Amino acid sequence: MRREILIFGICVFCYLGCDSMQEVSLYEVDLTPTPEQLVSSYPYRHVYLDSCNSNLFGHRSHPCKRVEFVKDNSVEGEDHLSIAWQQGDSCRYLGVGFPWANYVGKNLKNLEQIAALQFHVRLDSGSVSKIPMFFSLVDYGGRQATSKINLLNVEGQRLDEEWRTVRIPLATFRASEKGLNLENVKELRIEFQREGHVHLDAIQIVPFHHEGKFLEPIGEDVCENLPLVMNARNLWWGLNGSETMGWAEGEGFLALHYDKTGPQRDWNSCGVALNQWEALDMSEVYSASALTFQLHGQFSPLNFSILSSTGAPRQIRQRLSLDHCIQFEEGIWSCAIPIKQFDQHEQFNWSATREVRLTVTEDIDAAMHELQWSEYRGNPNKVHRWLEHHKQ
Amino acid sequence: MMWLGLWMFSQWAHGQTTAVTLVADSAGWSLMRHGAQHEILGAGAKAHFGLLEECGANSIRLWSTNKSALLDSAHQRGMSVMLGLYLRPERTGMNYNDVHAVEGQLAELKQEVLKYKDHPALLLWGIGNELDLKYTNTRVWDAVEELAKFIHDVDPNHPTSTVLAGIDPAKVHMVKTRCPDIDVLGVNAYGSIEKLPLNIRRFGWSKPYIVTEWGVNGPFEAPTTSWGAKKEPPGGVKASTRLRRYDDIIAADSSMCLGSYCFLWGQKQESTATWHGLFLSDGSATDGVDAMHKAWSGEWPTWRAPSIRNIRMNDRGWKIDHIVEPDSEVQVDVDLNAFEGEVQWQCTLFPESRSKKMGGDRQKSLEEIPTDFTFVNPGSVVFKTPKNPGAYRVFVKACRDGNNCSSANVPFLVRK
Repeated sequence: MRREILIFGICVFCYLGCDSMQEVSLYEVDLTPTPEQLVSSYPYRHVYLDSCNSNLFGHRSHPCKRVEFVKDNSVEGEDHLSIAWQQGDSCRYLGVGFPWANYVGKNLKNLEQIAALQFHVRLDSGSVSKIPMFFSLVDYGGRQATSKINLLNVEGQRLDEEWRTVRIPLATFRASEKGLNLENVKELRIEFQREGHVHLDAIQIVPFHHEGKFLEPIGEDVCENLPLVMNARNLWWGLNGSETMGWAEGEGFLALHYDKTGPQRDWNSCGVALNQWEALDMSEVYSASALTFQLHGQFSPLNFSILSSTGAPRQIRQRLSLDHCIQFEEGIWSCAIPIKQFDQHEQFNWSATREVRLTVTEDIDAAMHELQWSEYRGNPNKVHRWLEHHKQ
Repeated sequence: MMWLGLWMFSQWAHGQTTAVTLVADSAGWSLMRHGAQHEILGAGAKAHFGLLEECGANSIRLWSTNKSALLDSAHQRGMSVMLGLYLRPERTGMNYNDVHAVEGQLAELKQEVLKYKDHPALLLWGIGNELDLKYTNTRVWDAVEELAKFIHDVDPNHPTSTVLAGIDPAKVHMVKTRCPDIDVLGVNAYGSIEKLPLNIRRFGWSKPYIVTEWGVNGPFEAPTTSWGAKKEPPGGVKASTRLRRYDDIIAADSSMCLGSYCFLWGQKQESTATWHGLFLSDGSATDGVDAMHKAWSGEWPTWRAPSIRNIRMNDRGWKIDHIVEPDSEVQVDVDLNAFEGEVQWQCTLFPESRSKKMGGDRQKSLEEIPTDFTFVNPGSVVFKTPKNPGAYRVFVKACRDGNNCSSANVPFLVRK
């Protein structure tokens, strides 16, 4: 028995041992280059070193721009660039260009997310938070993408008399968005606007981690279910208490007391936001929907509008008529305005719906209850039938 | 000891004189500066400060800190400055979801705030201009608020504002709810100025406001010809409109409106070279300057510029479409209030602008087309239309002493 246990123990040991002791090579290494290695080995990383070793165009001076090669106080190489400019009517575009590596087509695609354009900059005197200069990468198809100095990527977050290292992440050029072919870049251009004077030196491509954080877009909410109840008082505008239009205190209805010859006659419009004044996508639901409400009191041909944040038309309208309402008690009307009855509803940008607006043009003394954007499955031209059916 | 006392007094006095406050009482809102009410009689101005002062203005508006020397110019003349902090609008490519870009921009502007917050001419901050124009991303208001809050932290002496391209309920709601540190609403209003005081109240804005740009209706609001050219009213009509809008709308709303900055105390190309500018491209003042003199000081200047009330082509008014043959003779007549003195006339021809820029964004000046003009009478000129078909615009200018002028123009189409 003891012998059997021993054999069983050896078998278990061997089984576990085989499973846990994998073969490993003593010499296996990860050969994938790091971003630093990738950028450092990039053959065309030096964009501008000095006047002897680098290509530069646009350096001829004229009344609006003076470009000089200054030997003193350079960061690298024999000299650095001193560029002074003043924009005027006779020289709208002011710039210099660097067709570096002797105009060879440079492939920056693999570096886009891991590298930055780095240079050193200083002023003759004073300090500024920005310099009106813009950096463009230009491809051999003539397309270009532009970026600029972000103060967060300036050494010490200052631009002054000291040489400051500045990095512009290649990702901020947003090449694909601008159609720039990053696989065939011809040159770097710097455009100068307004006026200024800077010293520039040692332009090169360096490793750089750009976080590039983007927030989730807002204003893209989609309305999937109806009804939308429009009784959030703080989202209404145009209300002036009980004078012409306003929410009745303690009640859930909109009081309308309008006298078109009265002193408050200009207060004849009010409106309500559908989604905290952000755009609301109603594309899925609008075609089978209607504005519905009850009118207690005097009937009046109110004007309804729906507004969007973008697109044309920005506002579509429909005027309330007796065709939209049935009276089911004395002075109590039930109304529905199918959205398909609004003029130009097919051209309206339903993905950016923002507001429902109400305008009073005739005298009225009434109360509007239960204003909603409701589902409407009836014939848009036979509202009475739908209302009767709905009533039951 | 005496020096120390003097130094302490000067520091105290400096603090007293530069603080700008908002005060609300039963009469409404007031802006207090130097311990007294400061009604803003202002202009968007970069030059002609002497004339601005002569006309009775007391403030200028700058759209950015790029031309900070103008703060000193204003201060030398005892004028205050609404200083703009240029936040990039979405329509120029700025993405307010891009955290890095937004934070970098705010870092720059915070440095500008620290740089200029103690300038004695500073009246209030204008955070952004027309950021709402054609925008979709409401996160821009978070950036405005961050800057406004920063200003309140580091500069308690100057109110904050942001400037809208006209108002609507949504914009007012956004500023109210997303930017609680905004003290004053700035509104650029051209045609929409007619209902501005009403809409400010209807849309629920309860703090004070400033009309930060106003004038005649802009090109974007103007009627157009069948070929898309904007119809610009003659200089005299524009001057009358300015005066009426100032008296009946801006000055009349003293309970909420702290004042205004007329647009533009200078010259710029926006559809035409004469639309918004109170000066012509050669630097001469127009009849619009006289209107502002009347608005601010209550009196007309002693020497008034001539004022063109109407312009006609081939005896048909400027409001209708003019379509003419190539190389044909046409006559342009203007009706003028000459006031007194001799009037000099000048005529120029330009191609029609094709710019699609918006929101006052910079447009290129156009090249004049050399043309022979013959004045058959004062105010009546004859010329031959260009041989090439296309859209053109003829300008007539009436001046006294070479620098008090009125201008008017008519767009026309040359078609075979």
